[in-house]
Amino acid sequence: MNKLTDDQVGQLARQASLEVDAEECRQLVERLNRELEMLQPLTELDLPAVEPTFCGAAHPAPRREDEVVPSLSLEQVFQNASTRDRDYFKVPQITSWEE
Amino acid sequence: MELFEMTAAGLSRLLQTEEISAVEVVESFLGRIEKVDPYVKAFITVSAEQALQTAAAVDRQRAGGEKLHPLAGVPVAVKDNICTKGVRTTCASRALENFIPPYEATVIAALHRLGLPVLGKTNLDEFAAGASTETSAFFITRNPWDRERVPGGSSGGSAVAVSTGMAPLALGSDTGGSIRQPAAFCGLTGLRPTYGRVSRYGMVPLASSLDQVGPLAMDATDCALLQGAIAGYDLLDSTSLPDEVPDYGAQLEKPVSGLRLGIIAEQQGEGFDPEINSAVTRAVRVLKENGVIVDEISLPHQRYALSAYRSLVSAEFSSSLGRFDGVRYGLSQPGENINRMFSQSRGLSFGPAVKGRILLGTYILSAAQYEKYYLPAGRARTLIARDYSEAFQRFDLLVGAVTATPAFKIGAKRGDPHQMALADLCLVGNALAGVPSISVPFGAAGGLPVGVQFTAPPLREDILLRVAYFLEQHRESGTIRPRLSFLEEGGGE
Repeated sequence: MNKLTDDQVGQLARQASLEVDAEECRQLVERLNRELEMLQPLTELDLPAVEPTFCGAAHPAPRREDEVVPSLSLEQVFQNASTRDRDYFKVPQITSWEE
Repeated sequence: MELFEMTAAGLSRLLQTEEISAVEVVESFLGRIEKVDPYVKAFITVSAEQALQTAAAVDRQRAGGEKLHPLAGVPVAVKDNICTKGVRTTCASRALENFIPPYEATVIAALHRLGLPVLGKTNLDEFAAGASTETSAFFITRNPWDRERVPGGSSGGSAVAVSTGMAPLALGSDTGGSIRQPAAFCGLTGLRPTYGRVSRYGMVPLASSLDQVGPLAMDATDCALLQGAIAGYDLLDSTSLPDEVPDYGAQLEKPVSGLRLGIIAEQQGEGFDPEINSAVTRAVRVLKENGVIVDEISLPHQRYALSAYRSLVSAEFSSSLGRFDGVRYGLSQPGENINRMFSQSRGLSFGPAVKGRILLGTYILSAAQYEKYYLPAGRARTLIARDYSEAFQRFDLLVGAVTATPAFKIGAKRGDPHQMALADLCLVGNALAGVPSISVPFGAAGGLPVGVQFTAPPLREDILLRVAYFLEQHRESGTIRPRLSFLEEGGGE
């Protein structure tokens, strides 16, 4: 099994938009490598003919007519927002995106 | 006997004959919470005012002669990953520390409609991603049988609330054992219903293809009552099953004779605590003596269950936690640009166990690793489900241990995902197959409660509850309540 390195875990953290400091990253490398060891039995499986199961439901979702129901009020929608500007969620400038 | 010492069925009888009021019942449990919770820390939020309001409304309706649900006025504790409108829902995470849902989970709406007061929200592993209730961002919940030990998890707070008489009933959620394992560690009956039997709408997901809400209670009768109250079709959950909900309580006393029981070779025996093996053996013996037909069964793909489960849960978890960006709700850090805002908010929001799961899921779902870890996990899941399906051609239900050991010491497995995962050994196969399972308290190991697990075909919760009820009548000790000697010694936080 190829072990994950600090750099790879740092890269994963960036992909997952998850800030981690150096010490945290070191601990996560250890944790992830232990987790990957546990997944090794899966790599021994050779089952190309078996259809994978990813959905828990063994039945098709029943169909129904669309129905208009009341939705949340603006006050309810914004009640947990960190910053609001009129009827918008306010976030930092998106056009300054880097990386 | 104090009201808080009674079962839900007992309270229901007294409420229906108006010997007691719902407000008296809620006050009794709130008093108990005030006295006991500082020692075991089961509740994140106590919603006293709302519970008393619901109880008062029930009392008014009853006085007005309205016909009410049998559980009207019987309070419930709710795991804090189920949304309660107007009451903080934290998932035991800094991410949602101040989140007040603007909507109600379907199961909570059902409780309100039927008149069950919600006492409060109980502690869990952060986002339910754990098996010990040690990874809550707020505090560890302690096992009332031995406060140096974990209560199990992730529904540890719900289990402790019921076990100590702080609530007669509780809702938990079970992705890969999170109802059954704490039920076993605390001496309760805990049911994981068939996937889709109970609505997941408003439950914050751990892994959507596995998550299921279910009841924890002192006995099978109470479990059947709460399961009947929350089960049913929900338009808001696309995986919800449309099948009619049976009257579970009415079937508890049906005879067990003639049932065909398969003993799962992989879920007891070598590697399991001898006293747990003995509990399984004795439970099987009692059933056999009463006409149950017993044979052994092997589930050959069980050996892939843990790795398939870890792979699928991590992948689904990392995807579903992508929604926590600090914009619309949740912990938010102002950043110099939006990318920094996302990563700083998320970095501060989650604890190490959750971060580990997110990164593992991100890795597994990457183009280079998908075929190595994710796809085979889905294939293994197919084979595991097929094992169960074939087993149910021969048997009406299967039996094994819930866990290999009784409740372990706080800190003993913390930070070691391998050790923690072993605690899930018997719990994830049936979850992957989507079939219902129950943990039934039966016997003890070193003075700690032990659970025996039964698994049935889809939608046969009635068989599980019937067998649980039967074993209650045949177990060595009647009640399974811990003696709370720590209340006399003091030292609560």
